[in-house]
Amino acid sequence: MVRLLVAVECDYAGYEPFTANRCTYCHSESMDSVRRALDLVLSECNGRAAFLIHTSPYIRRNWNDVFYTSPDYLSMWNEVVAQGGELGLHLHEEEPDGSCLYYGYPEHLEKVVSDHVRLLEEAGLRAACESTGYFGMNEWLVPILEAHEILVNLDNIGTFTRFTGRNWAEAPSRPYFADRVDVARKGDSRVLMIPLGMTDCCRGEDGLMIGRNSLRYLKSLWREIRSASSGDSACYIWVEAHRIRKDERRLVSLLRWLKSEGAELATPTEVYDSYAAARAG
Amino acid sequence: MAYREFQDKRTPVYTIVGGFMYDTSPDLGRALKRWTRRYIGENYAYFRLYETAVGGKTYRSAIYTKMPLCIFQFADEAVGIRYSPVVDDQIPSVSVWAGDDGCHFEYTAEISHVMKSKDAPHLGSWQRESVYRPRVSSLPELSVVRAGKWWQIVRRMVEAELADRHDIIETKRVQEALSMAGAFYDRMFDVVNGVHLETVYPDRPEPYGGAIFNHPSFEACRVASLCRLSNTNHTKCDRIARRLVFDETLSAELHEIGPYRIWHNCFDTLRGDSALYGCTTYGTGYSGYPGGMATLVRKLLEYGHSTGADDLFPRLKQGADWLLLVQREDGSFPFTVPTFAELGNPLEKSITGPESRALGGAAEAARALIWAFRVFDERAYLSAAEKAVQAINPAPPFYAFRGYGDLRDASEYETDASSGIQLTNANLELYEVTHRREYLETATILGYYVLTWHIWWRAPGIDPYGFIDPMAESFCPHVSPWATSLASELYSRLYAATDDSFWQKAAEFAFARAVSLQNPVTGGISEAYNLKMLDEITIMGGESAMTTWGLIDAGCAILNNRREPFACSEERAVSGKPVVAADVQVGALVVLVRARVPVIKWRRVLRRTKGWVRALVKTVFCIRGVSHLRSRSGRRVAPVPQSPAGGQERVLSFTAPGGCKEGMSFTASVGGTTMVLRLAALAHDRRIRKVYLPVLDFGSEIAAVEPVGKIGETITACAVRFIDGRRLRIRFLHGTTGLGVAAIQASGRRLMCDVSVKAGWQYGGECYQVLSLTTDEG
Repeated sequence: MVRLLVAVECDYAGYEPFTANRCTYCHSESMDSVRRALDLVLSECNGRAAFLIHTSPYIRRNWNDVFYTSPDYLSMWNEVVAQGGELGLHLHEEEPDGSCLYYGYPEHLEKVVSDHVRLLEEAGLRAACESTGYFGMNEWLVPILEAHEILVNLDNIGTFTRFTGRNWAEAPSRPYFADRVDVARKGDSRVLMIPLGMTDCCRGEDGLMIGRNSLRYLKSLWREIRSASSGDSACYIWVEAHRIRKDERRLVSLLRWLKSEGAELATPTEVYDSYAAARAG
Repeated sequence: MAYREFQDKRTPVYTIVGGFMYDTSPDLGRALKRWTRRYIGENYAYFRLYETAVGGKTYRSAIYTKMPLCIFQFADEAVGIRYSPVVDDQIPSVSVWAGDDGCHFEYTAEISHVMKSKDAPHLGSWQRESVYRPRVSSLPELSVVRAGKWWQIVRRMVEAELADRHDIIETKRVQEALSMAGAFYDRMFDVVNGVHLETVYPDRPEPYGGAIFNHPSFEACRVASLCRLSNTNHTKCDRIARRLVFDETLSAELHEIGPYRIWHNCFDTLRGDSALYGCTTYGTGYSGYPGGMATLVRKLLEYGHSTGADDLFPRLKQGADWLLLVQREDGSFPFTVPTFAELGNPLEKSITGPESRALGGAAEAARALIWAFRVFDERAYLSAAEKAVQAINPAPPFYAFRGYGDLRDASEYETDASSGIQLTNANLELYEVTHRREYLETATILGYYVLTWHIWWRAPGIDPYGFIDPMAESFCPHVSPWATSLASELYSRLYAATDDSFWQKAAEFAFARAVSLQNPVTGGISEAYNLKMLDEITIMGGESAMTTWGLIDAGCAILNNRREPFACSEERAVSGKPVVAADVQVGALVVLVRARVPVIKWRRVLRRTKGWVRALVKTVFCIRGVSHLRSRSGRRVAPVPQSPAGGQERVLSFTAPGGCKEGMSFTASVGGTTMVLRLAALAHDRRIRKVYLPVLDFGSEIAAVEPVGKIGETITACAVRFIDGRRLRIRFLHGTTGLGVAAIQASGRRLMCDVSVKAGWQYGGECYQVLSLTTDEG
């Protein structure tokens, strides 16, 4: 059985540090996108989804870290949790003009993670998972996530990632506990890497990414994932909040089809608990 | 007997097989397997002989041996076993393992290896697969030597190898090599972008293929090396240094963290235009290839210190502070600290993080911090450097070198030579500033480690002897003049610090080997020369600017120890009576391929017409033929009618064929006995095929021309004899064309000097040369 996690990445249109060397943020537009994604996913998934909340130097400097401080957003995150969903951090640690990125600086990452865990805690919320900008999870983050009990990461997309230069091509396509020397292989850390829904030949953008593939393709891919898996497994489907207007119909159709096919939707904590129990046993 | 074995019942604390195994593990068989991790460098070679496992033992082909010596260092003594990696034209195998009965070294011709091969030395798929089994009926005996420590055995062997070599390289030869290296940089200088190219073809004007255009850290090495030579264009060096420091596209300040600055490791033109910008590939390291932060900071601090360019220091201090920032608590440095967006190259080394250790990188970071201490006089830099070196220094007698990551093509944990060179230099520099003997002792022993990476064997048909092959597996077997030059400089420094002539001899020997590959025409050297089995050693590709700064540093270190100047002793001071300028007409000749006739518009018109009209026009007017390149034709820059008077300048320009906007200009200015000639063309003019600078018309018939001065194949001076008995001497002093000219042709009254290969005009707009014309009394 393959359990499916719906991961909604709450970035915003206009975040283009490397492609346009600038970032722009429109509050009303972003609010609207997140609201729409939230309504859709919660209704179709019965609340069982993970919302990954954006932070970046740009949004902290210019918009007071709006995703973690604005009452509007915080009320939405409370709604997610109230309906059975979970929250995650989504760290985009790069300069707005793309001149450099900060994923290799543990003191900085530690500060960002602890600050945002604290902000969520002040709002009565908890981060259960983490996804790094441009799928850039690295070895520096492992002890930091462990220290903050954020024990699920969603960066394994099965391919080389541009900008952050991570190579997930040889990483397992089933959940695994990350190694401290090379997070792309199994190890002894407590951080569980849940992979994107993919097969050996369909990885990265060819995986379960709702905005990058047709509905027919996604259905056939899911069948392949299910038939290829033996025993318990889990993966996630990637949804981008800022593209929700374009992807809405496809996402609704897919989620309904998945339910009709008997797919079991899960939260990051549920997947983690089962793997942690298996490891302990 | 095609099998020899050495056995000792003791357990070694350290085992060496020269150039591919340095291990402290008691389980030697496992240690031998460990280095066989595959990485991209695996097939940077014509062939690979894979290791073979038989009965729990791992056999490796002896072709990967550098110093043909297996040393077991036991608690009470060291035992060295010498063997021959090549027997006739066959390659046996070696294996090291430990069992209940002690340790074993096996040397055999009874093992087969899977062999994969291809026709090109660069990355690419293997084309053939076969099985290699040496055809040897009898192997030579193993010779066993004993000493207290392993490095004593190494020293003894090198002393024996160098015993019959006296005065290995003359001062004049070193100076010539340096002059040619400096001239090579003149040739490689890209006037348009204001930096040197990283690689050029030795004999062709086209740009060398490949994305990596240049490495800022190596550019820093070049300016620091070039400014030591007396005949350097210091303005050029200063401009480059300032660009490296102040160009905002080349470095970034880490605003989110603090006043730290980090530099990119490549210049590139990937954006499609010709303007260079900074980018990073293969992660952001500290040293090695493709260069890194620590190297750039160290070399620019060195440059600023030696030239008094203090304004470079504030930004370089930000770079040195960044090194302090990323240093781990135990003093070591992680493999890389990804700071720039990766452009999408999956060859980038992915392993980083708190568990990774860059040994060579940490050594280079320590060297940069020592320089920061020298320049800024802040104790924190020295403390950090000492902490770094103490963290990575191998404790005697355990010299297990892993986790270097100094070379892009090596596995992350592959043993290499160049990291050992960095570490030795770091120890030497710490000795220089702290005067603590333990650093010198460690440096000396590390020097012996580097000696084990020289190829100390010969084979029929090829001569890799004396060169370093700097990696245990990736890329090899090949010879690296760069690593050999770096080692030569290191040995010179060891000689200066210890006053032990052994190191002087080693330095001169290594330099002589590296210089033997210098192109006598251009002064350049390729970065690698691959072995094609035992058939031949072939050049890897173009000539590399990286190798040349290594050569300059090595040559300067030798001359420094000899108290000799860093330039040709026969500094071509001009003597003799100047020739009256009015007697000679000076010009230039450029042979170019004519531009395509612009028929594109006609074609567009024709495309819109009826088919039969098109056919008629093509038939009648042969339009199709016009678009093809015409045969080569000469276009002479008309000589200046009368040479300008001393100190004056006359300009002549002409328009290129086809009435295009491109143009060329030629100027000549005369002052005393010297004449400065400048020939300028638009950048990247691909039509240029031949350049003659100067073309001298003497007004009377030339009877004979004879080169009277040469460096390599370059003619630096020639004597001209006329029918009327007059004699002239022409000396080519310096210029963008290097030290002189490649060939001289005399025709009637005219003398033509060919500088085509040296002009490198496809990259830059200007070619200049300074020469002197004097009467020849001799």
